[in-house]
Amino acid sequence: MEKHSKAYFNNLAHQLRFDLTDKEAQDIVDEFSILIDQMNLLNTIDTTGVEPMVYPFEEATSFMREDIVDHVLSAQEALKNAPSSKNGFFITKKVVL
Amino acid sequence: MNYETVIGIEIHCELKTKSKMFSGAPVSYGAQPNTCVNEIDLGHPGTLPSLNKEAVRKALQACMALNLKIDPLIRFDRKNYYYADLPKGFQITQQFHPIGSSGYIDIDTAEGPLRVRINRLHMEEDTAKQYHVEEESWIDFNRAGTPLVEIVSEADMRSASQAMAYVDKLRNILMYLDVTDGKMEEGSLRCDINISLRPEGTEAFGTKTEIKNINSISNIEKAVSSEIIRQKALLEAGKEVQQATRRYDDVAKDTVMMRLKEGSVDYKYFPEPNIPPIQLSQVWIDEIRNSLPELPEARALRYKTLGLNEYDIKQLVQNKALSDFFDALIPSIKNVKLAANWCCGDILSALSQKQLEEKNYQLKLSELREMINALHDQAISSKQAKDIFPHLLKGENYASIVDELKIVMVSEHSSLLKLVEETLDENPQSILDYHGGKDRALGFLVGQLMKKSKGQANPAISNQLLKTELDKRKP
Repeated sequence: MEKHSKAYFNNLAHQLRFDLTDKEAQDIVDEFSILIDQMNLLNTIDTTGVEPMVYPFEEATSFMREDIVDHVLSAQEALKNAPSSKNGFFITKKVVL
Repeated sequence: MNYETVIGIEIHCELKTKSKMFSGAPVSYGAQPNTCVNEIDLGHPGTLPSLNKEAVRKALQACMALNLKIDPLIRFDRKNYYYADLPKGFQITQQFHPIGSSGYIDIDTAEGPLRVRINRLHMEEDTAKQYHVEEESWIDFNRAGTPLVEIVSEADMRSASQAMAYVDKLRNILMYLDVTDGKMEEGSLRCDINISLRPEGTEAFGTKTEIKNINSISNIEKAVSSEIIRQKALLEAGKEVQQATRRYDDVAKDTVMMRLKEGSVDYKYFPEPNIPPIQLSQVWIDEIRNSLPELPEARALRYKTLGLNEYDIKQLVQNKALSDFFDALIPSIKNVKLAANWCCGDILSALSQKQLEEKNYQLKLSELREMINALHDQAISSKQAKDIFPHLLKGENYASIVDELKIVMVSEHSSLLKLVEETLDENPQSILDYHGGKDRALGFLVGQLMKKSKGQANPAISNQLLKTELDKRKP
């Protein structure tokens, strides 16, 4: 499958459990080629010796939560959005990696 | 050709905390499915993880006991994979900056002492538990988010017994720290063992297999031994070992293929954006280091100074719950060795491991102590102690048991002498046998005397008296 083609994005959408219309798929293909161009432009910048920055601030934090049980759902609430459940369990098609 | 076995071990250990690694939902084992979860564990949109301080404290304790170098700047990363046991689609772990690195433990094996280097210890969250039922998978998220540490050894072990000794020692250390309950059968301590063989004298590693699902310390040795035999047979037949994950089947007593490893999965690791780096204060780290509990090696040394022998020391130290029981018993005990004997013998067979661990028994330590001291003072005999002990187990007091069972120890010289003389008068043949060189005759006479006294004669004094009187009656 050609990278960043319509078929490629349709397949990705399918894996994430939603469908794309033909127009939506085409729009993404078009936008993606612009994005790739922009990334390539960024790649031309020489970053030798520049430390990677991960977080938008430099200072480390210090907060940690105390080991207290403060919020728990009932099984009923936990399962509320599950497409399928049984005996308190979430049910999926058999998945064995 | 001779082959050398190379073994490295990864251990996943659940930390003993009240709440999850990143959420305030409870940690529990054996609860009804999906009753110990909240939105964070279920990976609902808009939720943010918040790090459990106690989990970090326990991870630090483990690092210290395993001689690991600590990175005080806590950073987490995402391990991305799409699978039903991870509702978020990623696991929060420490891929790039583990909290501990470059440590070791020293183990004792039949082949001599060995230092096993530990590559790293990192924190992460456990995944959900799945049950595969016919065409469905049933998912329970109670375990999801439970704090874990993963401890990765270097490939320093060369035999099944070394692998077993390593896990046993590591587990014992973690139990002493009280950072985990260490129950392999419940999965709170799980080990993955990597095994490969190479021709003796060569450096390059052979193709390895990984064994999972080992539910007890003793099965480690069995699993590794059978896997070594299997790989060796393949290599000797000119075949190749396939890189695969296998599990140990306790019934078949062999490893069974789970899945082949085809190349490595790309987990697309990147720094976890929802948890900014957390700087641990040196004061806090020092506090934890200074209040580290006594570890097995230190305890063994302490027992040595108490005068216990190697066997007793080993028996006690390898069982923390029993050893804790012994420690609680020995203040103001008159004979520590005798106390150790009782702990490793009668106590161990009368109380279950669970009872010891949960301190759930009716036996009162003060009463057991009183009995052991009485035994030491020869106020009661070993036989009488065995009669008293079952009552102690029921929570009764020593003094009232002695009263009730009418336990008397006759140590008074004139009373004993009378008993001795009567016994000898009634058994003239035994006197002849004794002087004829039959040692058994003395044992028989002691037995007769104890019977006559209804078990109340002081055995040590009676024995001595019997000998003296026998000598007087030498024909």
